[in-house]
Amino acid sequence: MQTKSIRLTREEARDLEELVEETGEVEAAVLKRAALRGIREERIERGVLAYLRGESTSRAAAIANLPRARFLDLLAEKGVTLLQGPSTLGEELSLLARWFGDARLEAVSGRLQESPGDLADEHS
Amino acid sequence: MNIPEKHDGRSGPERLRAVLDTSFWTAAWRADVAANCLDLFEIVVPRAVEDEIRANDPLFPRGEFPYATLFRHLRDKMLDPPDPEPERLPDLGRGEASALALAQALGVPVLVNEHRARKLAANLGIDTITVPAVIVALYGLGVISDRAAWRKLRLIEAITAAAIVHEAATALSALGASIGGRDRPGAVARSTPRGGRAGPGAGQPDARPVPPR
Repeated sequence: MQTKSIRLTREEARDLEELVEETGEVEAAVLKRAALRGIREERIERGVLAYLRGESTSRAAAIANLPRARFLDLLAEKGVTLLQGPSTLGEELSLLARWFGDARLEAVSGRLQESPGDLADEHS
Repeated sequence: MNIPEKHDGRSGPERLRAVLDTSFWTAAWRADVAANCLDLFEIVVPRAVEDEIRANDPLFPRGEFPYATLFRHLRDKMLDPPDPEPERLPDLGRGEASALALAQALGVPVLVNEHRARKLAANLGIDTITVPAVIVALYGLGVISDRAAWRKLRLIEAITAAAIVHEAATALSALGASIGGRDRPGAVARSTPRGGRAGPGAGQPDARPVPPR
C-alpha cells in the first residue's frame, strides 16, 4: 500500500466532510473510492478519445483498462458509430444468398451492389 | 468473393462456417440476434476472442456482463478452433489478430462489426459478415418476422452508419417487409436517448414459421 496526499481548498474540504458525514464512512475510504472512480472515468474517457482518433479497439480498450468486449459495448452505449461506410451490405448478402441458395436474397443483393439508389427509390 | 465448401453434415439447410470476432458478438447481442446466428452459421471461436468476451471487469471481477452470460450459455453450440491456432497477424490486438488469421487459414468469412477490423479483413481478402447483413438475411430466409427485423435494425441504428442502415432498410423493403411503423429505424430513434441499452427479449415474439421454399 502506498500513501498519496492531496491538497483541497476550504470549499472542497467542506464538501468532502459533508459527504463523509452523509455516508457514515471513514474519510480515507470515501477518498479512496472517489479517487478510483475518477481514475476509471479518466481512463475510459481517454480510451474513447483514442478510438475516435483512430486507434484500434484493442489499443483503446487497453487505455481504458477494460476488456475489449466491454469497451466495444461501452462505445455502443455512448452511441459511437462502430460500423462506418462504405457499405459492403450487398456483397455480404450475396455471399449469404449463394450459400443458402436463396434467389430472392440474391436478386436484392445484386440490386444493392449495382444501384442501391434505384432500389431505395422503388421501395421508399 | 469466396464461397467456402459446404461441410455441415446436418439435415436441412447447411450452415455457413464463419469465425467470430468480439465486435460481432457484442453487436449481435445488442441487436438481439446472437442466438439466431446459430441458425445461419457454424461459429468457430478463436481462444483470444473467447477470452475477450468472457473477461470480467477488473474492478468487479465477480460480475459477468450480459453478453458474456449469453455467450457462456451458447458456447457449446459453437466450434473450437484448431490446436494449435494459426499464428496471429502482427500489429493487431489479440482478438482481431486471431479471428482474421483463423478465417484466412480456414478460408471462411469472419463475423465482424467494427469498420477498422472489417477493412483489415477486406485488405487480406477475407470475406466479412456484419450484423446488419445478418438481420436482412434472417428476414429474407424466413427466420424472423418483418416486425422483428425492423426492431433489430433499430437496436443497432446508433452504432451503424446511416448509409448502411438505409441500405439494410431498403433491402428489407425489397424483400417484402412491410413498412415498419414505430419499429422502423429512424421512426422514433431521434427521440430515443443514444446509448440506451438494448434490451434483448423485450417486445413481441420474433420467430415465425419458416415458409415453404
